[in-house]
Amino acid sequence: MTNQNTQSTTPETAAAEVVAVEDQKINPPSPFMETWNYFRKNRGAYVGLIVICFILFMAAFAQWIAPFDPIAQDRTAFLKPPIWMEGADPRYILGTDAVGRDILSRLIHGAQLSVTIGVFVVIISMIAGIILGLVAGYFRGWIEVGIMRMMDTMLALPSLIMAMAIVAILGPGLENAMLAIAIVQLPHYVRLSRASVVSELNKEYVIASQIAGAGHIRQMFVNILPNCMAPLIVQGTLGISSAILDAAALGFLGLGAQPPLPEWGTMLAEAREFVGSAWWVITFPGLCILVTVLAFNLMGDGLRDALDPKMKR
Amino acid sequence: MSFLDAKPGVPLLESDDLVRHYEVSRGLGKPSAMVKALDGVSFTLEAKKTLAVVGESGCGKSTLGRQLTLIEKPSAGQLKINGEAVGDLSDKEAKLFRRTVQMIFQNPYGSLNPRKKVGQILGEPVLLNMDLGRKEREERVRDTMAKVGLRPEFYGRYPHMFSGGQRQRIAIARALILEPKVIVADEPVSALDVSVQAQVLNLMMDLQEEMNVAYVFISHDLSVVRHIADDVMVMYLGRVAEKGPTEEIFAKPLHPYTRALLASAPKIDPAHRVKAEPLTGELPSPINPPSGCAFHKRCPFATDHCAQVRPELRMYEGREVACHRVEEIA
Repeated sequence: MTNQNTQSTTPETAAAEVVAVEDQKINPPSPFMETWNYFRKNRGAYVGLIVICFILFMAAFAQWIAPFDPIAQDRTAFLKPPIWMEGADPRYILGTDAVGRDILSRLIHGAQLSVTIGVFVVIISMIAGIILGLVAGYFRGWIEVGIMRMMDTMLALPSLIMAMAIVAILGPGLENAMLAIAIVQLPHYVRLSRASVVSELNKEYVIASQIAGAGHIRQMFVNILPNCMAPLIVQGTLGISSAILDAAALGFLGLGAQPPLPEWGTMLAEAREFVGSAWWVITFPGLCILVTVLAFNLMGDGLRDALDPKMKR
Repeated sequence: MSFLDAKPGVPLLESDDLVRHYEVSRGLGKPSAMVKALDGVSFTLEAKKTLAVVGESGCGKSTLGRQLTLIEKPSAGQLKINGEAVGDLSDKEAKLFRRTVQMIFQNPYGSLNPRKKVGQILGEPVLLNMDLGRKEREERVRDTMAKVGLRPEFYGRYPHMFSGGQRQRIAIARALILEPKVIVADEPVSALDVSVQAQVLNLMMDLQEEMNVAYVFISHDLSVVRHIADDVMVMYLGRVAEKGPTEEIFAKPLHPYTRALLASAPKIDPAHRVKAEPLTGELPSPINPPSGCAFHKRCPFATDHCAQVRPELRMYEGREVACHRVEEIA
């Protein structure tokens, strides 16, 4: 019965398919849809995107999702274990920390801070880094020497110490910590984009565009930059994770997110003395960082493949 | 200034003693050296003709191409289009110049931006040099694609989806889209399979008929040159060795270097083989070229006079040769 049905519709389906294929040939999909279609085929990247969407959702609606105020202390419930363990308080699903704050609520609110830190640091760093790198690689000469030697100097200092120095000058706080981390990450983007630009600059398509009359700005941003983006996107996604970790380190040193802000890295630092006695206090923030970092890396990988026309069929 | 207007009796493109020297540093503490990549090259190109520039690697043919398209400025000498010298160009003049001289590159895998679709690649020269709306631009791109034999559905595809021959068609379309008078083709077929070479060459010749374009055809492949060129200019170490009509040069090469070059090209028919000593030795360094005739160290006919005095181009049997002993050799 089913078989017959299928057979009877086959010619029409085939005809429709032919039309669809013809349509596709004549009207290629829009650039966004094209990238999306390739991205979707990469399962790891897709999972990464879903996880990131979930984290973003948590961050955006933290006030309504979180069961408790992240800084409210419950003096009757210090270091309560998660709900599936013996001696747990049923109100606190993932347990409480040393001063009786709900860990789940803190994690949900912490998503806001960590995602903001990661994304903003990378955006600031990337924009400044790409512009400096493009200028250095494109114009060469003394401009390049000036920019690159400055970046070398910055790389010569240990990144955390330099971030600390910058925060010490600007004053402690989350915004200044973000700015400091962005400055510390800058040389990576500058060097990466300069190296790509230099290797692209001598390719014939750049000269062809020059003969076609493309000016400096068009050459840099329209012709060369898109060909340099693949390594920068990967570096950017890795940068989100290292920014989250650096922010945590600064928070631990008292220079970043100030207590009682529920920043994941700061939570890790506060909980380190309970590693032996109350594993949940330190495990869940750690897992959050791990999953977030992994998701960003997977998505960056998929994005690179989807954006690279050489990977397309 | 309007070098777009053809004037009777004036050649379309004239190179007057073009010189291009590059300064190269030889390390710390040493004075920098001068590479004489192009050391006084003059020629004229008439409309709708093809001038082939041949020579070994490093003889300056590609440097010549870069001067002709103004990618680089010549160190000395002048480039004239329709009799007007091309010097410092204003934006408007540069646009006019680009609509007069365009270029095709050797490697079709490197000359197309991998991030751009065919339509965007071909649209860029139009966007930058002509005042056309989006619709008219696309129309022009599609027209040009049809001219070079690219199917309309290629408009939205990326370069990596094409074979070398098709890519070179795209590159030709990009050079043609502004309807230039001169196209500098820098080894346009040497990166292609032999079967595809013929297709691309025939396309270039058909387009010459159709669009009245003149070619400066840079090549080291003599069989290709014989097929396509009206005139041949043989270069050696940044200077012209011999210049004349293709048929005559292939029938009776005068300069010893031209002879050696023709002898080194493989031929199937023994009757057509030119009898000459094959070239020995390397091309001398253009940083420190030999005294006198640059070719004297590799030339079987060289005398002391050749080693001391540089031969200038002079007319002999209807073409120009730079050799002291051309009467004796011929």
